[in-house]
Amino acid sequence: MRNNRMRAARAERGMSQADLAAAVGVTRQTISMMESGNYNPTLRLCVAVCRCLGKTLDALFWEEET
Amino acid sequence: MKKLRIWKATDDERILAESGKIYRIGFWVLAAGVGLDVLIKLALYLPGYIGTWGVFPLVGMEGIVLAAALVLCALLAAGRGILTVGANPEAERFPLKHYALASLVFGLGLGVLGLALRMIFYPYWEGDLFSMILLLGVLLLVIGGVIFLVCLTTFYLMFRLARRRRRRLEKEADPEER
Repeated sequence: MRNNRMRAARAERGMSQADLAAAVGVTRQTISMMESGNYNPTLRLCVAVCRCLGKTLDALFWEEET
Repeated sequence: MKKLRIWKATDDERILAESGKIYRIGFWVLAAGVGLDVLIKLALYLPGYIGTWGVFPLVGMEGIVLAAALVLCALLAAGRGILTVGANPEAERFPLKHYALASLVFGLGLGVLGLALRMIFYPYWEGDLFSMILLLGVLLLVIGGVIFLVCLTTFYLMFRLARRRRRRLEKEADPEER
C-alpha cells in the first residue's frame, strides 16, 4: 500500500528522497520503495523516519482497518 | 579516505535483507554442486578404493569445507537459539516425526542417488540379477541407515543446543519472566 502520508510529510519539510535517505542512513531507493509501498521497513527505520520528519509513528504508518 | 569508504558494507536494512536472500540461494546452489561432486567421486572410486589418506582424496578439501560451512551455519543458528530446518524454529519439544522424516528423505535420497550414479558410471555386473538386487538393497540400507542416523543425531544435538541457548538468552533479556 502506498504511503502518501510519508511522502507528504517529507515534502512538507522540503526534503528530497535523497535527503531523507542520507538522514536516516539508507539508500534513496529504500525511501522510494517505502513510499510506494513495495518495502515493509523495520520498526527501527520507521522510528528514524518519524524522528527525522517530526511526526509520530501513528501519523505516518498506522493504517485504520476498513 | 573517501576512496576507502566505498568498500564499507552498507547499513541499509533493505539491501542487507535482499543480499541475505540472494546469498542464501547462492550458498545452496554451491552446496548442492559440491555435494554432488563429492557423491560422484565416492560412487565412482570408493568401492575397491585403498588409500593411505583414508577417504580424504575422494571427499577432498571441498567436501570438508562444505561440511564445515554447514556445521558452522547450524552452530551459529543454535547460538541464536533457533533451528534453521523445520517449520518451528523455536520448538520446546523435539519434533521427532518431522526430523525423522527429513533424515529418512536425506538417507534414502542420497543412498539412491549414490547407487544410481555408481550404476551409471560402472554398469558392469557378473553375477545374476537376484544377487545384484540383493546387494543393492543391502547397500541402500547401510548407506541410507548411516546417513539417517547421522542426520537425526545432528538434528537432536542442534535442537538441544538451540533450546539451552534460547532459555539463557530469554533469562538474560527478561530475568523476571521465567
